[in-house]
Amino acid sequence: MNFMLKSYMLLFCSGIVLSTRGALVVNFNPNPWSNSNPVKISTLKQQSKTVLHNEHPVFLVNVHNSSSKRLFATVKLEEFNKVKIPEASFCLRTSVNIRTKNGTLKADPLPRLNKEQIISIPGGESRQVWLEFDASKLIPGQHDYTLNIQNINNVPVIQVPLNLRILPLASNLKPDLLVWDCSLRGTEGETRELLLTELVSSGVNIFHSICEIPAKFDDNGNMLGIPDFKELDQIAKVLKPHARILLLRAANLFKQRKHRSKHKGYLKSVSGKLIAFGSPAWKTALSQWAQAVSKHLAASSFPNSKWAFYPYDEYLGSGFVTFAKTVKAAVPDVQIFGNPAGRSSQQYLGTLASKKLIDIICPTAARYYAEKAERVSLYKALKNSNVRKLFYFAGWPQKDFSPLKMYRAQSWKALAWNTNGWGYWTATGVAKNLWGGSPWDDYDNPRPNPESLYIEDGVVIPSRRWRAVRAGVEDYALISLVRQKATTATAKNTIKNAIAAVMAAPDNYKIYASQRQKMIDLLMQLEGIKK
Amino acid sequence: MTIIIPLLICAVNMDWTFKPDMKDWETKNINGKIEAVQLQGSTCIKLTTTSARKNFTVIRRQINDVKIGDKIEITAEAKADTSRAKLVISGGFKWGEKVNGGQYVEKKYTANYIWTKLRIVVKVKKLPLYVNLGIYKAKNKYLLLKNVSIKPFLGNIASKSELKSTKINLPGNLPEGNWEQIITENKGSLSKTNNGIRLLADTADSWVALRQKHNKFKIGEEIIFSAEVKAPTENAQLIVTDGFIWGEAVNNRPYHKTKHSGSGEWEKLQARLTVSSNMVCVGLGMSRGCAKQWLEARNIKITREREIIPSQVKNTETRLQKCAKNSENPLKIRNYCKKTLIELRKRFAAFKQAEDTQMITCLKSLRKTLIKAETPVFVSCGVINPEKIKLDSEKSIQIEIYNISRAHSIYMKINAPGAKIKEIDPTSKTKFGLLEGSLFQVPDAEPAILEISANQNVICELLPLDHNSGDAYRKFTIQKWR
Repeated sequence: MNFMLKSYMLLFCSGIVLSTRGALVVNFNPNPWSNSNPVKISTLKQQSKTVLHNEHPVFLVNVHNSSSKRLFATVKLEEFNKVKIPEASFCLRTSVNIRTKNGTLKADPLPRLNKEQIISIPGGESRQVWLEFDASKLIPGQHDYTLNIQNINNVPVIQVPLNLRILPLASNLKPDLLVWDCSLRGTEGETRELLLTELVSSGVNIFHSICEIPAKFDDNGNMLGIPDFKELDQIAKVLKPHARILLLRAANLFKQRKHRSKHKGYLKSVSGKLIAFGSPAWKTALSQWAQAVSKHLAASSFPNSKWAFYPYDEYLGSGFVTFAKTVKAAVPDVQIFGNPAGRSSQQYLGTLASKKLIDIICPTAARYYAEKAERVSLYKALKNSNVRKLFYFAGWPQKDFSPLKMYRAQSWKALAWNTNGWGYWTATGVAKNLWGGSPWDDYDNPRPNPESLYIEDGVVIPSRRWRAVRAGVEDYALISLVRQKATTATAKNTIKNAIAAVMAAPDNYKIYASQRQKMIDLLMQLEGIKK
Repeated sequence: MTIIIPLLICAVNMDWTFKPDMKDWETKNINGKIEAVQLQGSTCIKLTTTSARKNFTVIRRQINDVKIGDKIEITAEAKADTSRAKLVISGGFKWGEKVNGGQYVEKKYTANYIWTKLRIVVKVKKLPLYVNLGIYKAKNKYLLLKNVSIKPFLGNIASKSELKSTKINLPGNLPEGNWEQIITENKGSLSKTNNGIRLLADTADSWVALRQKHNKFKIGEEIIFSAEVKAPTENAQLIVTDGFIWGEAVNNRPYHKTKHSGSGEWEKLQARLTVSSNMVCVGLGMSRGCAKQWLEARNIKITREREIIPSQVKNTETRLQKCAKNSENPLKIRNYCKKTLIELRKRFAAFKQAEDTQMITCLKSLRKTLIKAETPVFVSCGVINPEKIKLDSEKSIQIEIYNISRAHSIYMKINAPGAKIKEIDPTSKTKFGLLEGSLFQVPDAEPAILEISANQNVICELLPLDHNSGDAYRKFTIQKWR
């Protein structure tokens, strides 16, 4: 009996749920991105997906225990024709409920199952089995799997059929993706490797380093010797293969510190004299320091096009302009990054863009949503400039944010708004848990933890939100590929309509699924691949 | 209640009585009848609809002497046998004409055959302004009109000149002190019931209320005025004002008001206020527009928040203890405690600022109780929550972890660096690893059984992922075998 026939017979016999054996009831979750608690859902839909060769498709299965006692079940994935599935090509996870600062219970962390692949299901409750594939580790073509779920104290097995079609096409047209504080959270060794792999595989390509580059200056601002590049070298070495852009907060040294009433400048000479912000000595110091940094990074295979200064956070004001003018005068092609957050920063944006004093802008997403007049002025300011455009969001308690609306939808927004990419605060937090205590506990700090990765020694656990980020990045890459290949007005219109449909309902999984399928169909049609 | 009296009060002030020739009134009649009738010596207008399905019978009149921005109050006394009988105020068009962008306010009469005064307060936005009275789409129904009055709106409660306040003594179980009984132009009454009081408003003009002034509260104190109220109208309300007396026109002073839902059932109403002046006024009553409506109140209380917090805390603690003993539904208690804690947390900063040590101690005690209730409970070799456990000769121990804080399963995390941990299925005795990140599940009805093996001393930490208080973790040490 062929696989499909077997699958349909199984569905026919099982009624509205996919399959039942004893107390266990198994069905597909209609929305893998809902972080609400898993419940018994009586929805039946055959699960088949068609994906590109470098994507990570996800299947989500609910296992419900209809008895009053806790049951343990093994979960095993098998290919229909018993071909051994490469271990690196799939991963079985489950969702874990965690209480957020708002008091809601969210199924956010997605830890791997244990080695024995056993899940426990309390009486009357449901558990999720999250199955994710790495299509790049599989051969393109049709793959028919069964997910076998079996009560460890009973023989009958529940077989859940899954069909995965991998196209012989891949897209590397991924958006710029920035997650803040990528000092890799102060991690070391194996944890650092795991974290970097997780970040890179999810599409992070703009890294933000908070490392310092200290230097010594005399009273006239002349640099004495060379800056201390030790910290920078360490991080640059790790990030070099993965970074599209490296953002350096190192220019902190030269920032204007208005809030410090005792002195206006922060920079001090070796003799202890304060070098005032914007003074000739300050300009000399910054120019020489910027030249040294640029030269050093170029020697470490980081040309000026691959990194940028990030002098101020959420601010584009007179201080920013002074900084940018001085740096650009010293090293004209060095890049400068700015992320305006307030309305007051907006007025400087046009000036900075027209005078080519800013190279990468990343305003808050709210600025794009702002009233029409403001949006028009923003676009006007940027339209004719070669500025790299991103946008970002931040906030908390992030565990309560909708994975679809707040994370996956951002890539669609980037497509709709024609930006190079987007970013958000934050996936990893910074070293020493500065942002709101442990990710496992929203109550150990006045502010809830905003991270979307659960990091500890030797373990990096993704959250559902983080996986939604990756799904969004893959949507962006797919649509960009289709855009590249589409030449007819009809095809271009289909793409436009798909983006508009998702933008109109950013929290509706059915819309994402249907529009994505349309894009896959269009790509297959354009490439002459049979359905 | 803060009332702002406009400096320029509009000039309109009219009482329109009807005459047999319906002078000054315009009529529109589709399948109906409009006639003047004499009732008790005065002329009334009777509008009757016939059996035709499409009917519209209306009389209307323009209000002169008003300008845009005026706030006026229109009262029309009538009785009807249909709720499709309406008083409509239309600005910029006549009711029945199709006009876009006009001003439209309506109120419906009740089909109770009782003389009723409908009152509409309207701010003029469009001119000309019309008063329309009529029936739309009702078969064989009538509307009998007595009079219409139009005057400037001075506020929902009476102006100072109208007030006639009397000092009264309330029944014994009500707060002591001098209460003022306020009934405008004697158009209402106050009576004592067995448990409390009953207020009755005779006409739509009546403002019937009780109020009490206080100067005993300290600045910064949080006071709560509460009462159990029963009323069939949403205009029944309870109020606490700060720095002004309810009923007086004062601008920019704080107050807090709570309204009854109008269900006619007993409801607990509560108004809170942080005192910022030397004079506080509490009030209970019905604002204008409640013809023939009543209000009953009992258990009227004025309390300082700090007087009730200790009892709230004690109550919460007792319930949490019951929860720990499984003698009460944990979920219900959790919700109650969470609500209490959130309320109290809001006040914590204020008490801290005021250096109110008694309150701070009280709230800290509650926090500790809550943490205690959410901290995981485990049993090893029959001992509950041992601080130290010695590994056996097999270099392992078994612990049973219980979920006493939730009515559903919860996830926990165990940090035990250097130790190997396995979970055990109690039925099949199968051993298997924990989820990534040392996570495991604890059902509500049975314990999770863990086997911990180590070659050295290990400090273990159990953290529930489902908790509402900080520091809800349990630490214990595993000591190596010999």
